[in-house]
Amino acid sequence: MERMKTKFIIAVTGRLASAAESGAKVELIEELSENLYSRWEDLVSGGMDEEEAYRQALEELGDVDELLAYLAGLGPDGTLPRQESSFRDFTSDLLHGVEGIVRETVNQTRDAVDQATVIVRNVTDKIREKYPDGFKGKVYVHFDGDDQPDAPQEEDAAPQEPAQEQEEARSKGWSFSVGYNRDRGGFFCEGSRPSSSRRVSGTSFPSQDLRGIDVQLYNGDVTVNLSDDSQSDVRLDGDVDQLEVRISDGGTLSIRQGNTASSSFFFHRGLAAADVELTIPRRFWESIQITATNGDVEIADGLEVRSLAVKTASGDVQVGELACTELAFKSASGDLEADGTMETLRAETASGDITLRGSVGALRAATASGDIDFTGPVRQVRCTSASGDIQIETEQMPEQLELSSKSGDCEAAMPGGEGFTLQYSTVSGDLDTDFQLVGPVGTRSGEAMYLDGGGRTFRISSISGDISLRQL
Amino acid sequence: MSISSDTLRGHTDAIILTQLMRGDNYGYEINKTIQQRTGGQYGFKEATLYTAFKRLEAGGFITSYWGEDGPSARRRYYSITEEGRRCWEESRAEWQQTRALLDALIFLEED
Repeated sequence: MERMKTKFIIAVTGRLASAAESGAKVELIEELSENLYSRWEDLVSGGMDEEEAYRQALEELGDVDELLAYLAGLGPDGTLPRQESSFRDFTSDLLHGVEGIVRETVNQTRDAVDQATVIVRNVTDKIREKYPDGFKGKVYVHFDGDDQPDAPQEEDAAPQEPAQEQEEARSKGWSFSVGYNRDRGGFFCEGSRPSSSRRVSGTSFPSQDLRGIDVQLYNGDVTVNLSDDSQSDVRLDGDVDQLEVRISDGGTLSIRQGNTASSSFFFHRGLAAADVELTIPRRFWESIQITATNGDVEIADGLEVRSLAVKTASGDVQVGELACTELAFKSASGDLEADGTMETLRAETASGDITLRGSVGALRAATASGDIDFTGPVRQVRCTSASGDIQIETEQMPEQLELSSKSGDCEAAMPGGEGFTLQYSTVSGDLDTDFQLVGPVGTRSGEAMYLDGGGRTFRISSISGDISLRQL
Repeated sequence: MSISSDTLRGHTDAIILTQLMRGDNYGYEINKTIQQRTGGQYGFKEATLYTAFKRLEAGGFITSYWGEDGPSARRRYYSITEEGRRCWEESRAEWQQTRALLDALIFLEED
């Protein structure tokens, strides 16, 4: 009587349709339909007509409003909140934060090997290039973490290096830093003249010598506008009197919030907000970094930048017609909406949705409960989610495609014509495809081939989410 | 009958805890026992029952686990915790008191 069981699953799923997808919802559906089915069996063995028994059992399900309210009160990972309801929001925020940090740490460990390799190569190259006859300067290696997010760069080495040694290194005109800093995206290597920054005042700054922008706010929105004159000054509007502006020797305009003792006290507690509105000339920028903890970030259409990094806790980020080599986005509950041409794109959220349009070289996205939605040509895709849905639509067949979810659905659509091998696995989801695959497709997991199997292998896996692979 | 249903609804949690004092069980079987014990006069709607389970679980009064029952059935079993036992004892004492009060208030001497 699998058919009847399925009927109950469909009916219960329908009644709970308005609840967001989550592991807890999947389990609740399974539990309720299993019990309704047991009820049905009892009624039928008592002599009732099958259809009549179905109606009666469903009738006994009753009013699901309270169950919907229960599901709505769960955290994104499906954990049960404790009963102290007035603290629920705070607790779930806290859990989000902790989860974000854990995820970040894991990912960075994974990336550490790659990055370390690059660092060693960079260091060697830079030393050889600068000092063909041998290097006599100093190398700073530091793991400075997040202790002093406001510290200007030249102080990065300060905790380990006595000032005297720094001065010594500076007088030789050359030093570089190798280190690890979460705010700067993990490991970094900087070979340059010793840099220092100076505080500047006013709201207008000549842009010719500027290469990058770095904004860090605790509370407040960031808007970046573009002026069509490529030589125009950088203009700063918003709550200017609450901001500290510095320009580093390296050409980075940095904007910080709350550097006076009293304002810092308030800003750190989210009691005061300072909005930043920047107008920068439309030209190529080396690096733009924005951290807006609670605020939203909006970047005008048409920004050209080598590296764009945006971090928020709950703020949303919107950027259009972007042209960049690397875009990095991290948020707990904020959404990311971006379109444009991006060579590498990394996005991580806990509950925020990631919506992307455009042409991307390598796309890496991870969420806990947020959805991931990408449309456009892409070469490499690696997306993971717990309960969010993943949807990839690409007009060219990617070289690499790896999608994995727990209760969320994984959907990919692409043109045919070239061969590939599909490795898939799911515990209770369905695999649905209109590609003519050779091999097992009706089972829980397997490896199937399209055309000759090609040189590429796509991997898609889920626990209870459905898998769909469509041909465009 | 509607009055007694309302009264009973106010004791949903205590009724469920009582069933779990008999041992771990799953939702449908718990409801069936309730129906049998009331001669078919009373049973919970599934939604009411599960909302109560989730509420009790969130409060730490019960815990749950998945159990395999045969090849095709996977059922969530509920189990009462120490805190649940204490709550059950309190509810029982409270009800005995309420019942004594109602007995004194609701009957006339000639009854």
